[in-house]
Amino acid sequence: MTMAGLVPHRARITEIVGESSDTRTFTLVPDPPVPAFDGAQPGQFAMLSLLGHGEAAFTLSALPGEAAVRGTVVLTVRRVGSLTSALFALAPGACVGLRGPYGRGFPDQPDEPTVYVAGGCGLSPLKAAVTHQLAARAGRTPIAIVYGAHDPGARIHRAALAVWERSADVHLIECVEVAAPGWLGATGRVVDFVSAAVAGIGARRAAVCGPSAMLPRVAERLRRAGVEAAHIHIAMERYMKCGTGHCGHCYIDHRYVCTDGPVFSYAELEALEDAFGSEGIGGGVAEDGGRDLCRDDEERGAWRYSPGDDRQPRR
Amino acid sequence: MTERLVLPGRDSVDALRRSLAQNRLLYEVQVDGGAPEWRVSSAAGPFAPDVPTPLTGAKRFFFPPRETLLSWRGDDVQAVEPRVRPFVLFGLRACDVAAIAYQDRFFATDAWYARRRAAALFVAVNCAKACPGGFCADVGAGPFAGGGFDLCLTWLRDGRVFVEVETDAGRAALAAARLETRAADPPTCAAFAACREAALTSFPVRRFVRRAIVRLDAEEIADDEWQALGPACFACTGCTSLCPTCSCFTMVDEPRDGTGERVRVWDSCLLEGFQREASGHHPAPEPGDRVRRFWYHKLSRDFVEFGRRGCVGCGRCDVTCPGSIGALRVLRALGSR
Repeated sequence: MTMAGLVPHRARITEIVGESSDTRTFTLVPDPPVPAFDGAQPGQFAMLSLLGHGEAAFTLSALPGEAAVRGTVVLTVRRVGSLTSALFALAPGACVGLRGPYGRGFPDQPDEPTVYVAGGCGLSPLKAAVTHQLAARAGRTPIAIVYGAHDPGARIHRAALAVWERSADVHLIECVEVAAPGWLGATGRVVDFVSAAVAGIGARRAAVCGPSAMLPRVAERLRRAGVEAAHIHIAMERYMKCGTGHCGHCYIDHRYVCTDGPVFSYAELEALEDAFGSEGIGGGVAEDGGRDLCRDDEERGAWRYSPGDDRQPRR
Repeated sequence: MTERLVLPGRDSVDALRRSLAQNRLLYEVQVDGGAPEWRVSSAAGPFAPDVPTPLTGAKRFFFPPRETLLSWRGDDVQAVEPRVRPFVLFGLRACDVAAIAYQDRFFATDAWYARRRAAALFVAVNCAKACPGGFCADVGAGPFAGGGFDLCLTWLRDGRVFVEVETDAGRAALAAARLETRAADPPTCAAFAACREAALTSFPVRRFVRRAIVRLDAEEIADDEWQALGPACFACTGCTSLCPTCSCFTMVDEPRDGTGERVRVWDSCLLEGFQREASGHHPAPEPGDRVRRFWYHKLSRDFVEFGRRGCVGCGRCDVTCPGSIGALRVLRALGSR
């Protein structure tokens, strides 16, 4: 048994792309190479180290050999704490530490019509998953993407969004909670557009990532739209220190988000004691409370999605 | 296959201790006027089989409160390997043997744990009767060790010492001490079984333990039961620190002028910040949520994961908890409905 498990590999920052005011995408090159990253699955994550500042988990937003060059590791990071603030102070050429890839990603079913539902930073793992499905599907399996940001300035991965918007068989629905002058897209929450997205492509499968409060609402709406719980795949977020199933921070019931997840099916999460805390299943999404928390698509007819108007106007 | 031997008496146990101390650090539980504690022993005096179980268990020998994992100088990072002399824990009780077996499974892929564990020899001593507050018999961890030791000693009523040998390392330790051992004959094995029976029946009947476990496994515990326990948790981390199976940790960087160390230190899932995410989201925001997560995992879900529950009935959490919600009291609360 080696001591390597918790020791990061050295990696150099080769590119930094600003996504929004508080989010950047970092391209890292491990030196010497870490071949495991070239085989990473969408939804898997890396532990990023800044010596002296600690370590944190970040999902891979582009996979080597697909949207990223082999030998690179691409992470999209929002600045929220001390480690990410220290990372944002670095320039290309600086060294960081990397471990991974870790966890169970999204199941690889490229020929299933799939709805991707992302809120905020949650677009990052789904961007990797969408890119993978577009590359791996045999024919023109339809894909729908529902992406919600807080406001137009908070949108990330705009280059990918622009590509998907131009793609004839990707149905992209974008919304913001708070519109700004010039925003021509939808206003609302992602949950409002889920049913229409499912119906629009006849989806049998869904992939979801976003803020914790969003997840059970979107999952319930997906189920009501006809997607089975076993085929709703949710990338969970938990604080974690090790990534190897030992530190205890991320466990839910008897499952570890770092090793058993981070991607779980909704059916798996429903079987756990408190996957969504007090906001979870049987809580905020109860039938009587549902209308308030996840407003019905019917009430929001102005933003109803149909395949005919899938070109959401944008700034 | 466990070998069953018998030693003529205490003198041979002391000879075994002296022999072990020649090649290994010998740790024994000593009182020395204070609390019972694992201390390095020279084996000069006679062994005290009735010394109380120490409040701090044996987990710190393998999963220490503070472990340096790596060090760096500039961008160069090196793993820091623990330096451990071969040692023997002499007088380990069944609860702690069960706890170490549990942690062996949990830390099966952890190199730092494995390095420390490989240096250890266990000589267990079975408990003749229940200790105050102990409920190992109710959770299948004692009072007699069911395996996970190198040697296990039982004092028979006639003064002889029954020895179970489970490993080659244990066999070698006995051979090195050149003791006068005999295979245990059927009457001796019967005497051993009688000691075990007497030890088991010395425990008070606690039907609520079984009842609580059944309710936990069936997910019958209502949230208000947990929330009622929540205010009694002061997040002092006494229970998780003393619990011989608790293993939560955090990692802390300690930088110094371009160099530094990354250190693993004990953490506690009962602390408010344990699960709080950088975004501010908290999956267990209330003390009752954290108490539920902790006890539900330890008393019920560990069974799914490891084939044994995370509680070995040592009772240390009940001794230390200022809010009176140690394991036995939680089991009583949950099992009395």
